Amino acid sequence: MVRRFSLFPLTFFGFILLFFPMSWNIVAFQNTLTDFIFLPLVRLFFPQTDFTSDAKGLYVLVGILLGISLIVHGFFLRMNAEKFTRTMSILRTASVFFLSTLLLKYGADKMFKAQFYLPEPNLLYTPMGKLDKDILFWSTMGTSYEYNLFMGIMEIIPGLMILFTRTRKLGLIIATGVFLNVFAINISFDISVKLLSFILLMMSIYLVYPYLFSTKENDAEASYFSTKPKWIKAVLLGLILIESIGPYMLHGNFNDDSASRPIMHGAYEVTHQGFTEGNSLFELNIKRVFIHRDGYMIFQFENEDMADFALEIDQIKQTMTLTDYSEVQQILRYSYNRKTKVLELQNTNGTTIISTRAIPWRNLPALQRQFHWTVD
Amino acid sequence: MLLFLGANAWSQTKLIAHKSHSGSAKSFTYSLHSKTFNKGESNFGQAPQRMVRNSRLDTVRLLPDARVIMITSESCYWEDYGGRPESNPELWSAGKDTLNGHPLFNAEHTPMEIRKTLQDEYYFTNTPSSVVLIGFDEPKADVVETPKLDQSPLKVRKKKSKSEEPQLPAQKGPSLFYMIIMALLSSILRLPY
Repeated sequence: MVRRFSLFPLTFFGFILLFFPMSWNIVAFQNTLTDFIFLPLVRLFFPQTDFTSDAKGLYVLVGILLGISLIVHGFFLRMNAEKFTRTMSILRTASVFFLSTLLLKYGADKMFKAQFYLPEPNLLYTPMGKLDKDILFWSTMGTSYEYNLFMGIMEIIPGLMILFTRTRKLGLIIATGVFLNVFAINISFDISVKLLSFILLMMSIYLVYPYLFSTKENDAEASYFSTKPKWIKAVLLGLILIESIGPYMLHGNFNDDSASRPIMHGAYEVTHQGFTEGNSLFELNIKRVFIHRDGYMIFQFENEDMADFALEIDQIKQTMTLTDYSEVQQILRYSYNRKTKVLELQNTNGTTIISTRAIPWRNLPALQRQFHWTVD
Repeated sequence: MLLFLGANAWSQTKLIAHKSHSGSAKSFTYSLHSKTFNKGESNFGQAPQRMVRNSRLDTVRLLPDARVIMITSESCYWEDYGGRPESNPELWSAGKDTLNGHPLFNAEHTPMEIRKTLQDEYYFTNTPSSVVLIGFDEPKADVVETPKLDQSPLKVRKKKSKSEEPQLPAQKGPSLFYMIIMALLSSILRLPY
């Protein structure tokens, strides 16, 4: 006989699976659905929030899903034993597929060097002590291709193992270790994926528990929905693979470190600068200029402070439009020579403001492949 | 905005993405409510989903009054296939535009000079040779010399017609099989630097 109240978590995991706003590739509408159903309700508590990772809105959403799960579980309890067991086995199987998908997705992201990407030049030239722990951790991880490969494989292996009955027990044990490590990192380095990593850890512990403590009741709880005929499992596996590695296969980018960057991306040291009266942007001494791959321009001043702007480049007019956080725009004329790597920025009056020269940032020690068995 | 080139990232977490471009904790609050900076949605530490947006320069036509008509088209794709909007027309939309007094597209430059400058200083997705230039004078220096009997034929210079210009081989996308092999090989062997 299945212990009915102990299966409440499965109901909750089912709602997490349905409404936790992950960024899925093949079911991208899930975000829209969650926003449509829950965002107005959540904003009754926090008007400015949304479902950003670890935002207040996300905590409220999970609280709402917990409440709904409690109610729905009440309905489940009224089912006869056979229907109840069947429902729970479906939820348990769905939870396993959910965990597997995330392990494979995160594993592929690491293996193809897309999650912990190569640190941007502006971070490489920021003094270490000025970086917050989360971005410092993210950037440090981004410097090692080999460790990302290892971490990725260590997530992909349990992700595959838990899909198959014979290897599920060992897979869940490894997965629990992986999620425990991820949660510890997120807590220790203040990385803002704490809520999701906690839920995944709880889910993996819940699923592995019956295997570790085998009793008659636990064995009954650990029943899974049969995915026969086998083509059902094959289709599900195919969807999981498309979700996790599809984007990489589609674009042929299997190592983000060597993927192409936008035009003029990189770091530039200032060789000459002239000041313009009344132009607040250039009143301070600028030491370096960076162009970020996601469309930002960053100025580094002599005192190491940084100022970042959203960047739009107009190639024909040879202008850059910089937008600050107050949505104030400033247009600069630019000239860039691809051969000499000299970038010159001027104000709209045509006065040369700043001349820069590209720095070979990829030659920095942090980006070199270093390995020493011995130290002497 | 006539042409825009850049990439939006639906990155990591919004906070990590913000800090990656040296955004401060103070400006993060602003960025959450800014259309310019809040470019996407959180995806819980997953890999960024980048939208690469660039442009093709299709045709440049020089008018007698020195104005230039340019026809551009958009080259824009997501690095995933999340089904989100492909571009923001408020930033830039492809089509026809008229410019006046452009430093490159004017009567002082020959098509050859324009193509060379496009090659060196511009970053359109198409090759300079594929840009159709109308109304620009061809260079006069390319004279077809008549070979003399005592000269080696190797000294003869003949201007190549456009159709004779070397063409880049048509690029084919990698096959699925090739991509699978590459995925396996790159994951095992390929090193980042």
